[in-house]
Amino acid sequence: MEDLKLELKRQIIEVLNLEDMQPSDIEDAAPLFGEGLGLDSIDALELIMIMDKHYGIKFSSKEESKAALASVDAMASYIQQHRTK
Amino acid sequence: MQIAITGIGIVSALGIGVEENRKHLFAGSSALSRPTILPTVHREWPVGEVPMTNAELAEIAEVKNKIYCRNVLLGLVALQQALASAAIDEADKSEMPLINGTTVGGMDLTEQYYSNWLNGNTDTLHLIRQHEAAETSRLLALETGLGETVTISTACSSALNALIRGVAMLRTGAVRKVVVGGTEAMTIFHLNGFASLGILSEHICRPFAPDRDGINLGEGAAYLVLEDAECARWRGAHIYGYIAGCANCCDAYHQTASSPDGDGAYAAMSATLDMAGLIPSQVPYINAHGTATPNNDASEWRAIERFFGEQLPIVESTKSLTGHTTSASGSIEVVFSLFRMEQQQYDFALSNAFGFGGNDSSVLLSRHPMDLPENNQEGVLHTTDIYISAGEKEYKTLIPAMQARRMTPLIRQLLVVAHEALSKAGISTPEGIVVGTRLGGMLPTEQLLAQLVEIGEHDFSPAQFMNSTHNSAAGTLARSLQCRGYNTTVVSSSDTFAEAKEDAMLMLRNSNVKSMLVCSIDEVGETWRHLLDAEKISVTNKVKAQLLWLD
Repeated sequence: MEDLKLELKRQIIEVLNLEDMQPSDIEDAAPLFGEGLGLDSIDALELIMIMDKHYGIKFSSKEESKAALASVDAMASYIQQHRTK
Repeated sequence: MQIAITGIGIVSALGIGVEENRKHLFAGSSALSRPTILPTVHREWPVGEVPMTNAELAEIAEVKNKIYCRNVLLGLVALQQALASAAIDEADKSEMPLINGTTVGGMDLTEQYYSNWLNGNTDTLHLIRQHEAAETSRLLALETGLGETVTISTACSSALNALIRGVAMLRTGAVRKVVVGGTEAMTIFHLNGFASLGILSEHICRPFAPDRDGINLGEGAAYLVLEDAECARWRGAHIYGYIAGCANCCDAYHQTASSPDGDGAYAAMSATLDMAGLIPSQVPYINAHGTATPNNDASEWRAIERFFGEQLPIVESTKSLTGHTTSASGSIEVVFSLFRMEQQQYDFALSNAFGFGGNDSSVLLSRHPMDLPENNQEGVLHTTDIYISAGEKEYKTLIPAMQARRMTPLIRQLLVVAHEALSKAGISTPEGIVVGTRLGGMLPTEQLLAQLVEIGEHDFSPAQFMNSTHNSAAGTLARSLQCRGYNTTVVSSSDTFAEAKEDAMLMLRNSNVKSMLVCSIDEVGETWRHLLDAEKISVTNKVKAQLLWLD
């Protein structure tokens, strides 16, 4: 689980171009959107692509993706339950 | 002065020409279906294709022996109709400028031949030249005998901004007739781009419906001949209507999303009515932008409600019939508004077109002659030096990391030189922004094109797609500087800065805008450098900025 979270943080930093950030700057439980890291709707689309490309996950609704992408913790546990690759 | 509309030409999914479009518009018959012409793998999204192959369009336009991109073919058919309906003398055409709104240019040919190029085959390289939006405008003028061309690329508001530019040119009195409008063919590139933004609907789109779930992409072209009304009456031209007012403003809120209260839309409608000297209750009809995304329609509706209050006009979106014709939607919907105005005997009709980066434009049409205000702003023109960067300037102290991450390296540089010009002038926020560019964000474009060749139609990055559009730089400047005024992007194959400055000067003298930030951004990747080198054209990746102001 810890490995998966670290991998996710690295992917988030790379795909979202968070140049000066380290994985340790992103807290596991902190919200990624709004008040937390401050990501927006375009970032959400990029994260949905990470979930599909690396873990074979496709969301069936906006609500589902919103919950699954709320934080690194949420992403990791969703991946554990639903990954197809 | 009064500006009359004396010619119209239109091609959309509803048909070829004025008669077919009017008939199907009034019947409300939607032309959206699965793609049959665009060679895409995506069958899940309905689209509004013009029901003709390229060969059929080339036959109508009488250019059968030439290889033209679909954008030029659609444009040419509409343009020829517009000139014919205005009964323009052959001899007068070379004096008439063409102001053309388009963004994708010959992207369809690029998609077709890019893999040849990547595989080292240069035989088809010349066909990729039509990729440049300004080149497609040049071909349109060449085939119709029109004079100078100006190309406006502000994504989905392009054609309406072309109209605004044409109106400004007429108001100077330097020209008596102009052709304005836009053309946009569907391409695999922007279908996948819109898909990456998650805004395509798998159903026939439902603008303003509570359960709306996104857009259907469409294509088409429409042009209008605009003319000094005195000149039109003198030559006995048929007059379809008059331009009562028009304006472009910027929402300065987000790359793709509209602000919750529709501030940009409100400002554009309000400035348009100010120019016309009318109050909201005098407007009986709006052809809304109405894309059917949850965000656009909520924001636009909020703006309409705020602006019109209790006396709401009839609000219609025709995108459920044609799909979203992107860069051409502005002029296509002006033509639809003219049809409705005549059918319903409305005195006025307002038409909205909004583009990425919160680029919001409105035009008010009138059935009766309307005097436009005299507005040649006097005052002494001041200018700063031109600030230039080829990528070397430090940006981190100026641009917060969370904003910089979404910008291409060259857009960051543009912000730096823009700040240099502004601080020299002692102005923190300019009233308007004009950017000139040759190819827009060409590095992300080339990356996405290579990706299409290598892995096919999936995994488009939305951030990269946004940065590939021509007006990404102008939108970023507006957001960063919180500039909610005039915002346009002029595309040119020659001196991009000079063309931007020409537009800025025109607007300074013919609007209420007192200060303009003029910029250029030129960027090519490896592929285009090779291509242009072969023609001995040198493009250096660099940005420029200068501030102009009157006082």
